[in-house]
Amino acid sequence: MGNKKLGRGVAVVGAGMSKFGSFPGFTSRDIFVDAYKDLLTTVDKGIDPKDIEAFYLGNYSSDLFEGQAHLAPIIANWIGLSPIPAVRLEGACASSSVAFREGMIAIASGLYDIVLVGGIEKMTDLPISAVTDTLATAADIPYEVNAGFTFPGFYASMATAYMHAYGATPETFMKVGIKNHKHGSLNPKAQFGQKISEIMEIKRASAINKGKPAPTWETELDFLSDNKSNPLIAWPMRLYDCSPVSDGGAALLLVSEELAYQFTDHPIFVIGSGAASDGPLHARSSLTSIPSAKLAADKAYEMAGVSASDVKLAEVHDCFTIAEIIATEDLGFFEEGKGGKAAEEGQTSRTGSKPINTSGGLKSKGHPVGASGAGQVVEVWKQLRGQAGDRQLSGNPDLGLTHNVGGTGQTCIVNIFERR
Amino acid sequence: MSVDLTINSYFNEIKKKKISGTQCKECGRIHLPPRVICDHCKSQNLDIIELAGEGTLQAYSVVYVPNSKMVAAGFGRENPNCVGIVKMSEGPMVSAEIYGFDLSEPEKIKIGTSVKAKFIERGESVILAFEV
Ligand SMILES: [Zn+2]
Repeated sequence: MGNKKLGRGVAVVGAGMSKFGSFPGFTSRDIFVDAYKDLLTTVDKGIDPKDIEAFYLGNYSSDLFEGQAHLAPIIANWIGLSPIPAVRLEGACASSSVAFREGMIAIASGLYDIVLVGGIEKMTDLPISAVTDTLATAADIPYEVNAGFTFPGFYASMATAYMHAYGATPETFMKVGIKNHKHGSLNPKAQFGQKISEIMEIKRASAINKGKPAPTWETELDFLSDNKSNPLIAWPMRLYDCSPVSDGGAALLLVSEELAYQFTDHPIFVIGSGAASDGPLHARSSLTSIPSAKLAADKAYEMAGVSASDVKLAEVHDCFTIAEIIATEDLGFFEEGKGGKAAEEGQTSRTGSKPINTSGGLKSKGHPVGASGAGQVVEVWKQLRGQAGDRQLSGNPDLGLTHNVGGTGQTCIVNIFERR
Repeated sequence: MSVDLTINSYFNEIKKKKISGTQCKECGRIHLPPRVICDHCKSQNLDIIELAGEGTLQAYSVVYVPNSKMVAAGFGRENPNCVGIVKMSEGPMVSAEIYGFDLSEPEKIKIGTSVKAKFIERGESVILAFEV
């Protein structure tokens, strides 16, 4: 079935991002400038922007979120890169991983040597009901949305199927959220810079301040099990099981392997990449895994010549807490049905055997959908270069993975990165 | 256009309270919603068949923050809607609204429960839902 290798090697030599969060008054262009300027500071030996040959931008729906389409040339122009080719790629929440892959393929083909890959989403201008409807357009409108589903509803349905099959409980999911908030508290770019315990104390103080009776939560699980502090969105997914509505951008500089050391002595190489597509959730062979993720992972591992046990850290698509558990099984880190238990035991924490989402993940870092995949690469790049600050993993990790899902798995992209 | 079976033609059958799927003449697979090309063997040689409307619940959720169409139909935090994935007795699975469970205790809804088709008239359209 054709050559599974890239035509030539591709390296990431710069990686930047804006803070993720809610930024009223800032448009996509403003936010992307922040990410791009951050990227420029990360290229150790510098980059002359005149040398950038093409721009691949991941963006889900600036049309509906901001009433602005054709975003790639608009942003390219705003950062001074016209007249280079500038193209926007859409793959729902995997948009910037799609852009990354196209940029990678363009370099591997020999067409370009130096490419800018970006991701951007500005979601917070719309009221929450309109955000829900905009995200729902990534699902099948006649067959799924018109049957009453929302995105939390889809992942919640996977969660009830998972609970039924493997005996997980809502507390299993809550522990993933607690872990990712703990990781995010160490990430200055994260939307939520707080642990669940810190959020709990802020809410307690606020209640007392307003003269209300002091809440009686003793533990983070008490707080997360309280319908008032953590309302149900779609059983069994509660507010703190869901990634937030976010604004944010991320930018990556990709170059051919031959040129990599001109930009840095510490390039990070893309050694494996896999992608797959699928139909709606109901048409799948399994409701407790994402088949496209398994396929994408298999292809990425095969190209890289590595296996799941070689991966030292992974940024996975935790749009909902259940999604992280399923991801860690689809990627082969844990057996099917064992990912929930592994999370409860702390195996996926920064200090565990398989650190997952050291950035805080989409849950805590934020989920500006079109920027999330590029944001995952920023974290892996920093961790592999030993530049992740307070959340830097010990042991000098040399192999990292990103897993980015569009919709409920209609799109999935897995990339594997190596420090040599 | 040379396409007989369209997305809308399926919903037009639902309006007549008929659950119209397809069966592949090459590999035997049954599809719901119906398909023009078999997703299993890629054959274009398909028969339209009517499904009985019986199935079992495979996954579900109770949605407290519904999409705008469901909000327009009167659902919301105080009146959540149940959704599920139903495996039809003929084999294929569909997404649908589910009725007949006590939604005040979502944890007691049982996967594997038998459900049967229920056609809901809502405005101009008829929706294929299921009830316990
Ligand atoms: Zn067939």
